[in-house]
Amino acid sequence: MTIGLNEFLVVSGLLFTIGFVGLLIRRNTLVLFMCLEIMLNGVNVALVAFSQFNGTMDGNLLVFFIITVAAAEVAVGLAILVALFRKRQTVYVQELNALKN
Amino acid sequence: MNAAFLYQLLFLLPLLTAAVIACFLRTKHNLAANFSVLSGLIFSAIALFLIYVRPEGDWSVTWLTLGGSFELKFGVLFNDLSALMLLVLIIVGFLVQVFSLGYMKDDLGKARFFAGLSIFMFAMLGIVLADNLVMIFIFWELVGFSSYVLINHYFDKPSAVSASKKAFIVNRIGDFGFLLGILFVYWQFGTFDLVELEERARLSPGYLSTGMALLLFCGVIGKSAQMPLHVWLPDAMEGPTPISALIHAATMVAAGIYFSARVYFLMLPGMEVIMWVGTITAVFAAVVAFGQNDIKKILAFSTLSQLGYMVAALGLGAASSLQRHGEHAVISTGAAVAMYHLTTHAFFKALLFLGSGSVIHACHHEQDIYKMGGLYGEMKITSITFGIGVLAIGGFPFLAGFFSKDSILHLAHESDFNLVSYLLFGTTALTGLYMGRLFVVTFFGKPRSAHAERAKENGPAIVLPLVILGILSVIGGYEWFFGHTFEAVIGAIPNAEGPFKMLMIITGLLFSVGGLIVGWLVWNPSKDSDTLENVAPGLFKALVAKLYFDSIYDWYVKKVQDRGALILGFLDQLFITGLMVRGTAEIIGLMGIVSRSLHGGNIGGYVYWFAIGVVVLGAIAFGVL
Amino acid sequence: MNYPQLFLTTLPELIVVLGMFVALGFDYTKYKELDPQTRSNKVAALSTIALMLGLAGVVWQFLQVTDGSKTFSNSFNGQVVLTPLTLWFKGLIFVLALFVVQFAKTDVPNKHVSEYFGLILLSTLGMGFLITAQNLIMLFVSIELISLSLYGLTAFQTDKKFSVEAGIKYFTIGGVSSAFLLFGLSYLFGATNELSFEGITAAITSGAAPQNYVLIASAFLVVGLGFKIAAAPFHLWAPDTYQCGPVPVAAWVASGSKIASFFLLVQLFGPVLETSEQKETLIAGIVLVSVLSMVLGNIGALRQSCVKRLLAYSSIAHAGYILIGLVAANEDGSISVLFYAVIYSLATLGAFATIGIIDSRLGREAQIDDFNGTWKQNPGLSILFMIFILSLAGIPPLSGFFGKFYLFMAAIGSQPEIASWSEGFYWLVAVALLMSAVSLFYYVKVLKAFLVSADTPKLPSIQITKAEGAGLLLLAVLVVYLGIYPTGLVEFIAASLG
Repeated sequence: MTIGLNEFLVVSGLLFTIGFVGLLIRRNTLVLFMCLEIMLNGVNVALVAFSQFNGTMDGNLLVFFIITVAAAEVAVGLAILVALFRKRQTVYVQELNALKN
Repeated sequence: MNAAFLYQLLFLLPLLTAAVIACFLRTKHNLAANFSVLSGLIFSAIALFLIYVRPEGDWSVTWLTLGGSFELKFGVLFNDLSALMLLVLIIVGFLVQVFSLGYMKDDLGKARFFAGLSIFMFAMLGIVLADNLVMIFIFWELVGFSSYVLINHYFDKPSAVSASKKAFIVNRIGDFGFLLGILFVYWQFGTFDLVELEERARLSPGYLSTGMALLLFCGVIGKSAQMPLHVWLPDAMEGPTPISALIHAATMVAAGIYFSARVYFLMLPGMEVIMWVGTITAVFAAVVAFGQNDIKKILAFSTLSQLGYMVAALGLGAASSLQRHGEHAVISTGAAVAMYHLTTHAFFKALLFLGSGSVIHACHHEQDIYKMGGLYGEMKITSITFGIGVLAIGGFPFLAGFFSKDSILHLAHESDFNLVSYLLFGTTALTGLYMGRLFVVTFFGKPRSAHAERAKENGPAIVLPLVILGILSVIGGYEWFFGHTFEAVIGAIPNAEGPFKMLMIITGLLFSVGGLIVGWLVWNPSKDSDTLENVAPGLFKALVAKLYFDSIYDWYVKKVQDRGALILGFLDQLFITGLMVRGTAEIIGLMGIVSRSLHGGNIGGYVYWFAIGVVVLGAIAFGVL
Repeated sequence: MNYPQLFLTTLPELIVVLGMFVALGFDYTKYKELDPQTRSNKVAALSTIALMLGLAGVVWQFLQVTDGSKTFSNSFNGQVVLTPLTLWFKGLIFVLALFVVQFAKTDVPNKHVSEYFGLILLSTLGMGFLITAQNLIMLFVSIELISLSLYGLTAFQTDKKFSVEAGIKYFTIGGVSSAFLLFGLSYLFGATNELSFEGITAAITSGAAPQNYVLIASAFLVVGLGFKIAAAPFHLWAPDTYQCGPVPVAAWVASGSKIASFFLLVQLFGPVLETSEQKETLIAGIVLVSVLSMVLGNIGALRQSCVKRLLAYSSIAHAGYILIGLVAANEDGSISVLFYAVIYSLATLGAFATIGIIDSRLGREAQIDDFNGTWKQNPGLSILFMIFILSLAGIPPLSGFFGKFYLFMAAIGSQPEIASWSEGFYWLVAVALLMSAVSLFYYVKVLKAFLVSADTPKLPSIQITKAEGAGLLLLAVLVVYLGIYPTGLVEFIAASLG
């Protein structure tokens, strides 16, 4: 069989969904960050696929930006996480419920 | 002289007065007060010139254009109707300002008070002259706000602050319907302009609807304190007494009536409901007035009752009886009668309120009528003018109130609604009676408190307005008083003839004088407590509680709205931390994707909300929903 | 590439970047021994100068563009397009940032003063770029620039227990929303094979783009941007962030970032909503988000006793109102959205700033009761706060009223031929009006607290700094002015959009 655009999109959608489900059910903040990365990679796959099948390089260009910014995002996230750990000695989300409505 | 210039001057004057007081005279109280009265004098002079000379010219400027597709004008529509309302505004407004010079003499917030008064005059002027619905709405809110500020005058009293809050919120609830109605009108007719609206409504009456009329009427219910939004008016008596006289008796609360008369052509489909609302309010308020001991609260309920009469009159004037004035119908019969009663009521109710203010001032801010008594001896002028007011509101023949009430009852009599006719008629008797009670208990018998014993007649600033209003309450109902200046309104009032006229004269005499006599007999001024309270304590208690309307609203806010918010919050929490996480975890567990002991925390819960949103939006996107 | 052109195009930003580096370096100079408050004043002064110079640059560009002597249209390879409208909004962002800096300087959350102001400047840059962005790459980068600086700022108050927690929540949910936004963007690219807004719009309106891709893209974009504007059900980060982050940051999130996001929303969705075949579906989705936001926001605010949290819920409700303009899907709708975003930001910035001042003098989070008797102690501050709150409540003649009025008019005017209640958006306007009546309950609750006299007023007489006072006064004047004379702004937006 030939692998077409749709197959790539399915993989991308799956990655995105796996990341999202992970966000919903995991409780370690570090793992949540990883899940975010998985979601972003899902997006990257879709972009590269679109770029490939549409015959332009624009999508690939955006992917580079996403990868770069994602690295920056993780850096900020980890910094906040470290600050959090210093303050609360935990990285588990269920213990972060001090803010009540 | 050019009219446009005068209109501009009229709008600018009170605004400038308020600004000058706010900027320069905040601490110079007496200067501020005198300045304000002076400005009021000029204001009244210009207004009188406009009313009686009617110089040529319009004033209308484009205020805003929004996106090119519609524009809002700031303009003036001056006709006999607005002239009459303007007359009422300047007479009562000016007299109240003079009265306040005496009444607020030692008040610490005098400058603030007069600045507020000027803002109110500005806002009210806007309602009177506005030529389009949006402008009316804006000034409508502005009078609401100035009323809020003025009720708040004694903000050291928690009750005053609560009352102002209540007035603000209740009015806004009415305005919710009002604005919806205005947008509805625009939607149907494509214009806000009153003149164009009348034209279009005449050409295509099919666009009129009961819903539209009733939505607009919501605003009237709020501002003119009709059932069931009447609860704010009695509480608003926490403000200074001159404010009660001007805003909460003569002008602002009557703005609803004026508005209805102004756009009577939009209100026609809802007339029956309007009539019933007015009638019920009239009866209800008259009954509750018997349970009040605070002199101002009694007058407040009497105001409610009289406003009910006006609204009922609006409703009674059926479309078929439109009076033709030239080419266009200027006003419906009902609206004309309502405006007539509005005018006379403004005179005698302002008189009564200012009279009560004189009493309260003399008694060192005592307001309980059972702590007064015996004031007739010391306060002759106040007593006599107050007595005239009592007779006028009771419908004593050939005083101002008699004529206007007479025409309302005539209208009811002519209509097909016998029940309304009887109810309104019966309420006249109640009016005479509760006013009799008020008058007798306040002014006669022996003083029932130390303050009442030491009460002395007030100075000229307080007494003079009483005398003038007393005279107006006598002559303010005759046709010659109005002359031909307000022909379109006054000319549309039907006159009772023959036997009905005789009946009116006899019952007017009976109810007003009888009310006083029965009042004397039942509420003997020598007694220290209320007769009704002694005879029927249960009923009296219900009346004191104003038939529990406030309690119902309090209950609603506390138990329904707040609890609703609480439950929503609780669900939120439950959703986030409990059910949602657990439930989903179990589903996922069942599917064997992850093991069973999965918990999310708050972040997880938040993401769940997110997920639900995504799912619902997805469902919409793919046409499932 | 035309470098002089590029230089002139990004001149304001370059100035601010320069200022940011100076500010960042400040903590490493000989002044580092000074106490935080002194340093804060100095760094704030530096930031103010940088922003003012940047603003001057924007004004210069604006003048160049409006009299047509110079166009910056194709600079930066079409990433950034400077039109009178985008320049005006960028200028507004800079002005708001100036206010925020003034409010921020009196109460620094911790000793790292340089970073605090550096991050504020960075987020300002991001907002400015987002407004001028005309390309998906620029859009993505500037959104991330805003978000990352705001995450950091929210978590900045390290001495407070909850600031960091709020930061991590904001970060996580923000990350998810960014992922959704990107997923939407990727499908948008896939459907149109274009990265520039112009090309995307053309492809969609001409019908060349596959409809199902466009639909997926729009749904994901609504989710991603719904987060940025704090619309329900993507709103839960907002109360935590507003309550627990430093107050000036909350003010900044609620004002600047909102303006930028709504601007983007109008640019992205405006043309699509007007012409796309999927118009109905999209509008239904936005209506749902709008109603949910109004209901959850207003009802949620009723039970709050913390004023910041109350304002957070009110901001959710306001996002709902603004979406009504988008739903209208016509030119009036777009104008009204932008107009309301501006006036809402002004009022909310003022309200937050007032609370920030009170919080900092009180030394803790202000509850509604804490305001008791403020009127007596601080009449000036009370009047200003009253103006902001009444504008938010939509009382005429303040600008909040006209904003709402215009939104509603646009929604009703969008379908004039509909004659029944259930069709068209009359019912939506009715819901909005009902909800704004509900909102009065909590707004007046706050006002009442200001007036009620307490036996022992909890607030001392407050000394506000000149900068704070001038900032608040200016904001209040703008709120009143735009209420009395909105035409100027509305016509400008209309002319530039058309």
